[in-house]
Amino acid sequence: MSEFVFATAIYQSGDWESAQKLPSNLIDSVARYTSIQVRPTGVNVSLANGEIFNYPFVWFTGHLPVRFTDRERANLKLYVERGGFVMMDDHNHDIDGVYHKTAMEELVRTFGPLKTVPKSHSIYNCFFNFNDGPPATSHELNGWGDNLVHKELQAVMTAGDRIGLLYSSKDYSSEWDFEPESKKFMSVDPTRFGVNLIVYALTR
Amino acid sequence: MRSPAELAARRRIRRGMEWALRAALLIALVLSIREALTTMRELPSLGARGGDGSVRAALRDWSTVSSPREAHLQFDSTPSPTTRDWAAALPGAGTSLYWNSTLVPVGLSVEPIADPKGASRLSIASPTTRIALADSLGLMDSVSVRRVGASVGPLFVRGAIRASAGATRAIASRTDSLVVRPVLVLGRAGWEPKFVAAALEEYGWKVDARFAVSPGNDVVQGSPSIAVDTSRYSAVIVTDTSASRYAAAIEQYVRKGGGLIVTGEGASIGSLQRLLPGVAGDALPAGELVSLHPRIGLALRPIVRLNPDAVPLEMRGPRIATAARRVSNGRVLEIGYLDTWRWRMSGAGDPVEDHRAWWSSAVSSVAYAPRISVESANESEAPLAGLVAALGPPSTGDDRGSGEGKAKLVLALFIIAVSALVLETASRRLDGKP
Repeated sequence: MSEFVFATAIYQSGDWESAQKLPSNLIDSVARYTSIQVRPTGVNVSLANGEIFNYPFVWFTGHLPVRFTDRERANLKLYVERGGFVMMDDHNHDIDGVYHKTAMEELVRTFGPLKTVPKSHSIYNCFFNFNDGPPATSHELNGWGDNLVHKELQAVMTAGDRIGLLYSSKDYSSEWDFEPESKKFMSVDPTRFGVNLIVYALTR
Repeated sequence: MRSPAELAARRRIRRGMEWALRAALLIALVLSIREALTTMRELPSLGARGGDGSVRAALRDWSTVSSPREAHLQFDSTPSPTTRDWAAALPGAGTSLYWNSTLVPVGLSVEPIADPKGASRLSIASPTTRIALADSLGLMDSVSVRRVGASVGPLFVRGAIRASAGATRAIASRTDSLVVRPVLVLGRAGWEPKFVAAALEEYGWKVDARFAVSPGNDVVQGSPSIAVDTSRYSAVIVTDTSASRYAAAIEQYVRKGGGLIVTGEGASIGSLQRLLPGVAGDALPAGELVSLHPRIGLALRPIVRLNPDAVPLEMRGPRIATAARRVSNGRVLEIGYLDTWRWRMSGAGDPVEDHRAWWSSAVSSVAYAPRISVESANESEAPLAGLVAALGPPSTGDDRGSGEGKAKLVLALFIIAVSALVLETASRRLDGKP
């Protein structure tokens, strides 16, 4: 049985590698909380070539404007249609910022309008329970960026309510991009929602 | 010189012969007159040929107006069941029936497939090589029929199916419906069980799933409780060893008629080994996913040490990729391909649809689906065979009518009468009488 491999999407226009410690923190959490076979290190895969189709879970983040090439857009669309899962997060936590605005334009252009994910969606309780929807990040609570706590996530849905692409303005990239040693000082493990994302992708 | 007594005896014998000849003459005349009167009273022999319309018109006429002694029918196209049965009733009304046709033997059968979309499989037999298939919506396909017949499907058909070879047309409908139940997918949270469940769900199957995530913790899809039973599931799919906790229930389920598919690490569950068609061999690595034969590029654990009653279904060169066997009332399919999800994600062409269809057909091949018979219309599944069953074997020409026989009888009687007259007259003249 093939193991889970954490993949980070490489795209041409932005700083795709802005959350370099995030993959290892989420890999550690998946290994710690579940019995899912997970490769100890993540991979970086280009959105522009066919390599991305070997990894049905992909993390997509950055601070800079997002502008897809034709090839990236076509691959992204096909990837989601075939059942892949993309987690796209605004590393700026700013709905007025360049990343959010351009990313939204690209997503609407590629997939059409995104849908709001209701709090009752199974992604919030497939492993850990998040009855109030997506957990807030420390950046939101500290007033960073747009000074808003975003209550909901948005998604591209396929085949009913299956999420193919999940978009977050909550800056989980910063929340989970911490030094691994600092985790022991956290009273609540913030990566638990990341575990939910991976478990959801592996089961739905 | 003869004595007077001898002469008297000879005269008596001659007179006896003359009376016998007069009697034979009289009998021959009476029989001839009787045959002549019978023939005058009898009606002629009639015939008709052509399509169903012309034959039916003739039958209507023979049944209501004329009532022929003999009827000769030539069917140039498949008659309707009504026409066939009408012709079969003629002998009961006193009309001898002789028939022939230009029809070719065609047999058609429609069987339902355990499929949530209600697909069917057609079986066709005919000596003709090319058969055209149509349903109520029009022409569907044409199929080449080899010596052992042809099987087509899964097909989604509407209404009655028609299989045509020239003017011969066989018609059949589905007479059974199947009760299709959900599918249960068992495995650890991972790409293969996820994509198998997704493919089946997208195809139209109802899917319950248990994805083991951590000890004592499953992600549940579908029904909150599962009972591995034929009243709940048409098929169970085992993708890895996490399903070993259900092994006893699965074996019982299969023996009662359930369908089981085992793939990947699932073939390593010890307590399921006695159900499997064979043993999973060493894994062969994945290659490139070629569009025409995408499964060639999948990693494979070939099935080795095949059970004597198992049947290989798919081969990769000399290696068995999938195999099936019956276990008591159930069926087990073992799939040696690993990570078929790669075909869906990376394959060429329309891999999502192909992956869905392949997995659905795998489930259909083992699914437990009880039959419900539905009322069927009066069909012509094998039209030529139906004609023979209703009307008897076709006429060969030698048995055509009794008219010739009757003519021979009258001729024979005439010859007897004339011979008797000549002999009687000759006898009297030789005796010196007028």
